[in-house]
Amino acid sequence: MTSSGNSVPRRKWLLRVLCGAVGVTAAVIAYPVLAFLRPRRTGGALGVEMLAPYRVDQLTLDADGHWPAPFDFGGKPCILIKKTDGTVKAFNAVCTHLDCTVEFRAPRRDIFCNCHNGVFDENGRNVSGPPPRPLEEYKVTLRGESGREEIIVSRD
Amino acid sequence: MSHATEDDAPATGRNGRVREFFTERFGLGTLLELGEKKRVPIHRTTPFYFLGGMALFLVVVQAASGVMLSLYYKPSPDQAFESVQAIMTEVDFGWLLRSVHAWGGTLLIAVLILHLLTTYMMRAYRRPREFTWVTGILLLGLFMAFGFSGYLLPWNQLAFFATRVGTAIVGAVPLVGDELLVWARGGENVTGDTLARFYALHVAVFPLLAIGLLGVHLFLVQKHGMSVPDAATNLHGNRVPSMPFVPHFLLRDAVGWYLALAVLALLAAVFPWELGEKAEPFGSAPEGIKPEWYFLFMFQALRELPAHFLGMEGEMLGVLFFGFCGFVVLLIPFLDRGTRTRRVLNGLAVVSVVFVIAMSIWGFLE
Repeated sequence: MTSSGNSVPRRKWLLRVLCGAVGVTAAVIAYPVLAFLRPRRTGGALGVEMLAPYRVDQLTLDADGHWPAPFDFGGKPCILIKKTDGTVKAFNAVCTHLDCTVEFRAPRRDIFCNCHNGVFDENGRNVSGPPPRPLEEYKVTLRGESGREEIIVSRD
Repeated sequence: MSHATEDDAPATGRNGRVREFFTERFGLGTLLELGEKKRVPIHRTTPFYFLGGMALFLVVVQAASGVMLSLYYKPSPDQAFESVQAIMTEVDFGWLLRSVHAWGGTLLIAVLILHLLTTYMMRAYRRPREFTWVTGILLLGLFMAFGFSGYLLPWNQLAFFATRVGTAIVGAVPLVGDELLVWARGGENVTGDTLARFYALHVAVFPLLAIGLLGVHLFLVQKHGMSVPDAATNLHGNRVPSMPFVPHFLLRDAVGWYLALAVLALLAAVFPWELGEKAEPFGSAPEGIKPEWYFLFMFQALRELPAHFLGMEGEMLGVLFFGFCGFVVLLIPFLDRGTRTRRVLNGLAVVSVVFVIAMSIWGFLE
């Protein structure tokens, strides 16, 4: 039926269609697979504002010399510190170097990261060691009886 | 061909008939022939050939002990730590199995590094063995990834923060870093999803990759035979003395396996691997956060890098630097092109080894 002259282009055309179809099949399978592997979004919008688990008078070293531990604020650890003048500050406790969680060293009046010896001052500014940026600061609102105020942490 | 020889020599006795039955059906003749043909050159550095066999032995130990641990381990943040604790305190010999698996991983990396260095010194990567080297380097990278993913599984403080740091380093890769970090962690933070991801990689994805890569590596070793160092060739010309692999070298190899087993048993029993404290995802990082020793030099280098350097963030520079070094190591067979380049490579190799050892000691002492 067909002359040998056009059977080769036809074969080529068929091969191309076949490859195309297999390619489309692979893409149709790959899309949901990749979308499945892509991490799901969680908790990003939550935690815009919350009541901290400590009151102002609880911001002090405990009997073992530990400062109140960071708490979960919208999926990130939040650390509360009390400056020498009594001001309460809240920071995202994730170190800006390589994501360790920082701690407040009350006797030294600084914020320290144990992983790579990064040091921040009481205002969250990176003062020594490898951290490239200051800590992210959250807004602090106090309410209630003076001296025993509740602490509300919020971010824009 | 093999069929004819079997016909020529009819099997006698029951053992002979059984052997003939399987030989005919599985083509065992080819395997036997391969085994008989394989010879190992004898020279001053012949003992270096044992290291590959020791590594293979430890891989088998890791696979076996890993499968056993998986019978009791539960990969979720609520249960991971407790299940490892139960393995160590309630399951008979559980402490030993976990210790063997943890020490086995560490020993495997150590043997692989020696295997790498001795292979480099003997220049066994020369044509046509370039891809034996390349697959070997990829295997070393893969086993380090095994170590990194396995480190998180007990879900203790050390593992949790080491994983935070390790994955944050991935995040320092230019352009695609943020996206890579999210893929590696299974989200923005290290959570239960991270643990599930690492578990799947550790027990399913990496083992499959290892089998594939190891298959190619071993096939290439069989195909090309053992490489003979220049020194031996210069001494004996084309008549380097050799011994048959079966049984002469195999029995010596077995001594290497026994040696690895002895060291492993000693370490596992005398220094049981510790579990530490359960991870507190929102607590401050404790003191003494350290990765496994084979990542320590990178950890220490990143710790000492300034925050900003050459207009880049320090860690980004570090990641680019170590990535480039890894790439150079991978391509060594193609970079060794004559005496002059070899001298440069040797110089770089000495500097790298000294750097790694010095940084590791520094990191260990801090």
